[in-house]
Amino acid sequence: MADERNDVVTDRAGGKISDLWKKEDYWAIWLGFILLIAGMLIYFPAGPKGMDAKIGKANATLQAEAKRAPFKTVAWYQATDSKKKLKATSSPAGKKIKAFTTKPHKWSSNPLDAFFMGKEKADAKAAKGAAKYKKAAAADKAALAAAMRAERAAASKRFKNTALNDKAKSAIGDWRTAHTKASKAKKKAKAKPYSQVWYLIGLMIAMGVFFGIGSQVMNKNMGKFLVGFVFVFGIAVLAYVAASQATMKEYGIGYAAWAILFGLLISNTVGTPKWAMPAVQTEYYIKTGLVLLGAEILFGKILSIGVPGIFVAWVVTPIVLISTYLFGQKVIKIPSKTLNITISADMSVCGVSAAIATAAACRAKKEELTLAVGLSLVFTSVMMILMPMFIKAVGMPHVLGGAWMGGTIDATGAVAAAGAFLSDKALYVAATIKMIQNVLIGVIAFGVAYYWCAKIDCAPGQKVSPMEIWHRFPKFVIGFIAASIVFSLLYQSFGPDTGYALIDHGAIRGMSKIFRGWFFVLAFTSIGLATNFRELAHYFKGGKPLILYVCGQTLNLILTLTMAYIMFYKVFPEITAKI
Amino acid sequence: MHTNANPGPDGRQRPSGMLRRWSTLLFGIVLVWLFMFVIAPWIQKSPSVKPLADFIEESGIDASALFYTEVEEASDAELYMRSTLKYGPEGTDSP
Repeated sequence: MADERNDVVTDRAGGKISDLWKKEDYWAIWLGFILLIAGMLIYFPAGPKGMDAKIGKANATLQAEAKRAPFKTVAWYQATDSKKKLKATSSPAGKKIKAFTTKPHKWSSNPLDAFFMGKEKADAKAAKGAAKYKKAAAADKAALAAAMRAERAAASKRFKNTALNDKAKSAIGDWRTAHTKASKAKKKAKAKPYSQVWYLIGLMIAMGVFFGIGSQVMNKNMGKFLVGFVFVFGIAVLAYVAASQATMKEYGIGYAAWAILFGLLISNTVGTPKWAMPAVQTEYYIKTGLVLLGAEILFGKILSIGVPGIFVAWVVTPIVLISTYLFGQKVIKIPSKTLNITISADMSVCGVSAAIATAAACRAKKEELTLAVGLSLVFTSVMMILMPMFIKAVGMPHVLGGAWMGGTIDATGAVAAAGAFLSDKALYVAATIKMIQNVLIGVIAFGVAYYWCAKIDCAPGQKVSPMEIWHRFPKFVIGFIAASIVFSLLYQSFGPDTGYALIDHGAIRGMSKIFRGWFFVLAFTSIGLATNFRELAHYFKGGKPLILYVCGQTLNLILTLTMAYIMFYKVFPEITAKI
Repeated sequence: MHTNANPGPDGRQRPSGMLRRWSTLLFGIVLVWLFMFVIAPWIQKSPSVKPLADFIEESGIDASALFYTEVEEASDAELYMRSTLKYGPEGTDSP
């Protein structure tokens, strides 16, 4: 049965063979897998030259250094850094794909800088960056020399002198800070001229045809789709431009917020042009983007920080999600179950990406997804500022603070910023916990889709047969999970180091991530272009979504801090000591 | 011609209505501009926000990134944690 409602994020799949080419869910799977297969074909043979030998050498050094000293030595860090450079995205093909698909560039006061920068301006920017880099590189060199001196002094006593060891650890820590600063400064010193306009036009045509073919086969007019796509793509580009503004980047206000806002602004003032409506296809873009997102969910990563990470990200998060949902149903009495679960997932898992996956899995309305995204963005910005301040003020250990922020701040970028603001240690823990939590999206989306088919979307007391569940099940979720399983298996078979080079920094960051971002911005633009302000206000009635978010986040903050403390300081202190 | 905007009784956009709608759009754009270039930078100057804002600017971290694959630092963090767990220091500094 096709769902004819226009305000639902997904539609229902039927049980005919023709569904395979007539339904959006299946088209999302085919389109998503075309890109993923292309990513594999391009990047898997494009590993850096001598990759296996370099990995072997780095691991041998790491092993030897681990046995030699009771702390991470200079050589240990240098070996880790050498593995960091092994990326298939650095291949010529990877660079070309990046140039073709790049979003508008960062700008401060002139929006044209997002699209174009002449040689003169780029040279001036590079010169400014070069001066800073020169200073940072000198500091890095001096810090490295001091670190090596301190390490040699500790080694001369066969690492048995605690005071010398501590001095070496501190000097190495200072060098790492200086090294990170120098690496960042180096990037800024590399400003090159660019002209993004033609690439964007090319990308618009490519993506228009890509989605247009599916539209045509699904009995929609491809020509009308392409005409409308120019408008939707244009607004999506504007959303990226706004998100690339320097101040907005610092606040963490990303493309999702701008795409919805610009869409809403147009649709609720002058109105979305009728000729653009054939390309206002929220579900089509979102489902295809989610299939790509599936490839980014690598289950092998959940052990990246050991058992403590599993408890903080995979035990606390589902508890908070279910508790918040039940609280919303029983205490606050949120009228819409789909709004309740979307906000609960968005708050407890990882913000916008979790909201998209959950909303699509339970067929939430566009307005509900918009509301969840809005709440997440506001609280992410606030928590990103307040949490490091609080952690510093109370003198909380940075491993604990990092785990706490990683488990509670919604968006990964904000987690990284808040963590790095405290220290490298806090960044490493925070970002890794968040990454493990990101992987949970796959399980949550599948669980929500199944629960909605089997329990929610049926009459009271009705028992739904497995066949009926299959018919109702949003098929794109199968593609989403299949992509995750395929890429997780590949990652495991390659091993983490080769997987890092060919999957993480190949098929994922060089293909899936890029197009998924573009598809999501098109989806959010479409949501804005098809949403009425008054309907949106209706969902916010009584401030219940806000109350739900605040109560759920409070529970999340308490449980995550408690679990992080127990795991990192009581049960597994040896892991904490190693970090 | 357009969706969502309310047409007149005859189904056509009236000139006065059109003017009001375009004015509202313009007003919205001005508000966005004010937020981006006046309000947000002004808030950033407050002592509680400025250190973090300066740090993000200096470090180049994309605070608006949604997923771990969009954050370079998350990749570095994972590599570091993996090396730490697999090749963490085994030596002891006890005499």
